[in-house]
Amino acid sequence: MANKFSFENLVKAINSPERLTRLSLQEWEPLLFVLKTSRLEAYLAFVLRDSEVWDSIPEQVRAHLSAAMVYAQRQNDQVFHEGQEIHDLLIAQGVTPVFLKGAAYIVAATNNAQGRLCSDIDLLVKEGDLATSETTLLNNFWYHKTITDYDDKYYREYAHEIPPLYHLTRGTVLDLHHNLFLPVSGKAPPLEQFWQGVQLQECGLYTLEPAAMFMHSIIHLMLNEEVVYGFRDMVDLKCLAQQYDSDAFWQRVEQLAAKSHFETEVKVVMTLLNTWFDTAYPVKPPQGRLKRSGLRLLVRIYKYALIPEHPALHSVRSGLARFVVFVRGHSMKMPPKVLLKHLSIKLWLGVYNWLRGDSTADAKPVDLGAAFKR
Amino acid sequence: MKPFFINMGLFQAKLNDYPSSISPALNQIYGDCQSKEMSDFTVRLAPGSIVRKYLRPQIVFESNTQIPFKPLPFSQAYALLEWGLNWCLATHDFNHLLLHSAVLVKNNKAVLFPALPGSGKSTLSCWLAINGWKLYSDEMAVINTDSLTAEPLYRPACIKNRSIELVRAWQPEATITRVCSDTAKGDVAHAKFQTWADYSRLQPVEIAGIVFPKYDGSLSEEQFYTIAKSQVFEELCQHAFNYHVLGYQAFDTVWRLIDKVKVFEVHYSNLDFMDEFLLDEVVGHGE
Repeated sequence: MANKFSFENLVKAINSPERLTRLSLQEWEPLLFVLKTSRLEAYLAFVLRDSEVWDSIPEQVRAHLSAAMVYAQRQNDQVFHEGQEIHDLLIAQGVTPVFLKGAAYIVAATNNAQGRLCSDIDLLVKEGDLATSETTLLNNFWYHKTITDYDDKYYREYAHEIPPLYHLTRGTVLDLHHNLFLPVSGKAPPLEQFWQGVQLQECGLYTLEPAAMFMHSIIHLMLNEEVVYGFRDMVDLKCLAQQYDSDAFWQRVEQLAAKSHFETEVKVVMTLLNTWFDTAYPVKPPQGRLKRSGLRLLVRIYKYALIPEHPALHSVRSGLARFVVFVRGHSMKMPPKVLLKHLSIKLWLGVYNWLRGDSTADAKPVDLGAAFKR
Repeated sequence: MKPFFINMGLFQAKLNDYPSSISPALNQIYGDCQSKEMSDFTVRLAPGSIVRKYLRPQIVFESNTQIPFKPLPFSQAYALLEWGLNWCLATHDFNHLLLHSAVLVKNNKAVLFPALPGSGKSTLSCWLAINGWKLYSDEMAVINTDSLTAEPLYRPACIKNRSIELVRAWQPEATITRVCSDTAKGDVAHAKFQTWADYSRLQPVEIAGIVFPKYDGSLSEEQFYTIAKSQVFEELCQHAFNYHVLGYQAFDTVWRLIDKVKVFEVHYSNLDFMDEFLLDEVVGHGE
């Protein structure tokens, strides 16, 4: 069959981009669609553009890749622009703003920075600086959209971030964090270790140190109930691991994992990295048979859950795995009593929207801000 | 269901699911196009929620798992498809500068008509297309940022309300889809003025002028104005779909374009006048 596409094709494209020259246009088509949905098109585009095979790629395909690069480059520029402005505002108040996730990769120019899209800018400040930071931003063209009282309470009481801030004229979305995971869960990592390694990047903005960036990416991927861009996150982790691969780096990762009690999560991710991307990073098997089979099970679940959600890759197994991740993510985030209450409220809202026939009520913003939309 | 291939020339969309009610319109507008090996977009027109399947049915436009718009009443499926295809182009093509504008060509020179809703742009486009001009695009000017040429698209014109009857009167044999009533823009139909064979002979052409048209039936005499370059610049930036994404390249393209073309604002009540005006002042009378 002409357009048969599988997850292996996607992994191969990431692992051996130089072999993509062998693809026919019919084979490129589903690959491009899946890359777009999983937000990896621009990443691969930059890899190909900087390689020797760029000229051997069909013109129609190159047009897509070029457009993806233009879009990503524009977001990249905007991250620097917004980043600098936010940095200056907060530094003036004696607050150290640390950029996280996508914005951090771009600011630190890590190997995955080129072509990395981000739907918002994530920022970490010390908990004691949270009120000052919020006030400063609110006084400088950032604002909160009206959200339900319940959502506001959720953010303020349970979460590790305040409700999103939006830039009044540019529409950029800013998530202001005071922790890397929800305090209500009882699993939020002790942050002294993470703050210790904070680095000033060449561009003058702060990020976590590489091992902490790696660790935070794992926390974000493995403890969330949604893994919509999970495979992209794995490519982020692959790039970071490849770039910083050294004994010192892995020791630091292990240390951070131990301090924050996320050793299992790190092991799952590293096993998957080795499985997909043909690497041999050190994964110490856990003590005890029960723990070992527990790890195997998690690896198996995530192996399917992280396959991008696209009709071309649809499978019952992935659907089931994502459901398990959904349940696990919620149970990690909140103690059972809080969770039950949270889910009942969300379920009611979901049923309400379904009955109303509003299938777009859950539509998520697809890009950095209104500046990219009309 | 077999997909329907919509080859718009520069891009091709693979329409995977669609209600059979739009088949006649699809065949009228895109039935003669030659399909390409690879599609640039994958789109679907799917029913709304299960409840909505029976109760006031709705239709949802989906492009590669993204749903950009709220659902519309089922009867507006074809109009939603055309608007959806506009969205696909505007949010994916960053290799060209895309302006919200009609493009008409005569004597191998293009004129852009940037749109102001209610300016009568589409009616003017159709009239010119019926009277010897080539309709390169009704909604979107696709501009090459290096050569500053306008690229043709194989897309129909979107005509609204009274214009539908006007176009039928001007050209009784015109290809016009069934009217979608009560859309956000009123009654809407799509009309095409060339076959795929005509289209395939079109080439990118030099842009000679930009005209901001304003139809005003009460005028006894046409009025035309030249406009300050800074004002034109601002107008064009506002009419660009992807100005913010292209950044400096868009700035540079718009600026170079304004520097080399003629720009007018024309208030008219007589369509014959527009034809003459454009030939005299913008594209010339040819050889």
